[in-house]
Amino acid sequence: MLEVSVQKKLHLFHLDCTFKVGREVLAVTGESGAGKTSLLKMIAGLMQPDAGRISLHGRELYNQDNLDVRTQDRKLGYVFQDYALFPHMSVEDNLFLAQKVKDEAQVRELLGTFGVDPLAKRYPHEISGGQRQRVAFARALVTKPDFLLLDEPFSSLDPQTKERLYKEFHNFRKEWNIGALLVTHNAVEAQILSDKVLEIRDGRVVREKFNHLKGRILEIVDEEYYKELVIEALGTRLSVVKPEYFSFANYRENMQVAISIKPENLILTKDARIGTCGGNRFGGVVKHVHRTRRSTKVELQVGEETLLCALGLRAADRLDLKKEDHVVCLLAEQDVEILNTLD
Amino acid sequence: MIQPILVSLKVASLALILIIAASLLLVRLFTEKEFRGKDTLETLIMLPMVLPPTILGYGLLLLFGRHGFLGKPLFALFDASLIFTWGAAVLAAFIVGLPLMYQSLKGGITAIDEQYIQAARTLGLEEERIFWRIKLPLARQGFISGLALALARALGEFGATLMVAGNIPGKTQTVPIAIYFAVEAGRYQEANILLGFMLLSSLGLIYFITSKRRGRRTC
Repeated sequence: MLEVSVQKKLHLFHLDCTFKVGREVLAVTGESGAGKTSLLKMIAGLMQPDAGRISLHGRELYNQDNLDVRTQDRKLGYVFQDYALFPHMSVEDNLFLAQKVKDEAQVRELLGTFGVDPLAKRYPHEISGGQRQRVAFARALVTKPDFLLLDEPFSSLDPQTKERLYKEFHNFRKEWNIGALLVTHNAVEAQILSDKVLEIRDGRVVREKFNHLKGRILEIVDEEYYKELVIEALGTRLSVVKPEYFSFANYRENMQVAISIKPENLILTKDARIGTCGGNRFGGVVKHVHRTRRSTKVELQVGEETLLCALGLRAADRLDLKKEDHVVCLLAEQDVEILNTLD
Repeated sequence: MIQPILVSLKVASLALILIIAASLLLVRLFTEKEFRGKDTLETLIMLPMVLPPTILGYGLLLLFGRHGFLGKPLFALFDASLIFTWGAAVLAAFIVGLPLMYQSLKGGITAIDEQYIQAARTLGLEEERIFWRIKLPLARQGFISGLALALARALGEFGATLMVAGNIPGKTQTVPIAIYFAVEAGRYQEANILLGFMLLSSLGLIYFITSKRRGRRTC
């Protein structure tokens, strides 16, 4: 678990961010100059915060009482926006350099994982942008880091390459089971690739969105006036109703999809008798309740997933939610958004 | 006639070895560490670039002469003086060549995209290794240019060398000094041959820098 709470005075604003992230992908979005890269650099130890605390899996990396672990000792993998592959070294040498003892088998395996092993002897300027990005990922993993920091790694790629690499990113994350912080200014990319999105503006967290899920299409109902997808997600069957102009041509049964549920669209109740007139309904357990002056955010455990629900103050008071409370979640069929196919 | 060439090559190559070692040390010191008096020390290193060689030579004479600030303890320790030896010629060449090499190498290193250094740190590389494996190879152009400029300056050094090492044929008489005295004595043939050597070596060095620059790899 990466726990971050940092404050830093930057040129135009005061950066103040608090969040934590486990073995999932947390996307940090925001416009250029919002403080995203500065945040990443502070976590990596490449920039010093003015105050705060950073810890990774319980190990303190920075605190304001003079603890500031060197970048070299933080055990973090970092993929830079322009990849920062050393131009005077071949692809394999870029990886060998990070090893304390030369381990050719590990380098071959990593390059193989990302499908760039035939390029081992080439120099960074001799390979394409997408290949460079794969090498950068492989290099970031050589040191077997505890966590990954990704600074807009897809931003300089063409749309086709980007889409292919999104899928590869999914697969590699599944295989490595490693947490990652993905900085991106692309909101769609954030939704597709992450489990949770943190939007920052002028150095402050303005929105925290969960609920990006993966599912599998079970059934496609595509009739003249009625179109419905049945998706297996959250350990249950979710109905997704789309307007009649929506085309299902790109979907097929058993296809993996990424879906999004906006926290404000989830309705919570403790009364098991309340239904939704044909909408989706599933049970969840309260993990955490975070009250602010304007709203209440509830973190729910639903099956193996974590969902975020945003409640109005009155609704929150009425429900009086506490940790470990069992609740029923109601979700309208049109409020499940399909973001992308993952196959 | 060959002797001044041999002396010049000996003096310049020894000075160059010292210049490389000192530049690497100083560039690391000035680019990686913060300390008091940094600017003053750097100004002192760069001073020979702007001082007339004769003034520099006179300064070295005062410093390393038998009664000089450094010459006195050296004489007491080794019962010998550096002045009017080929060592003094090496010292003069070192002093005038060092700022050129230092400046060029430092420029090359500070021009490196900071992301490469940061990437190396995230990969767990220690600063020592970052310098040798990342900074120095990426500052190759600056290193080569500095090397060629310092060598050219060391080979062509005249004023300071004459003042501290004198004109002892076979010992301290370098090519520029030999040309000066050959012309003064009317030995034009000798002067022309030595001039040819200087021209060829300078042209060779310039060609070396240009060809290395053309072969530069970018990413």
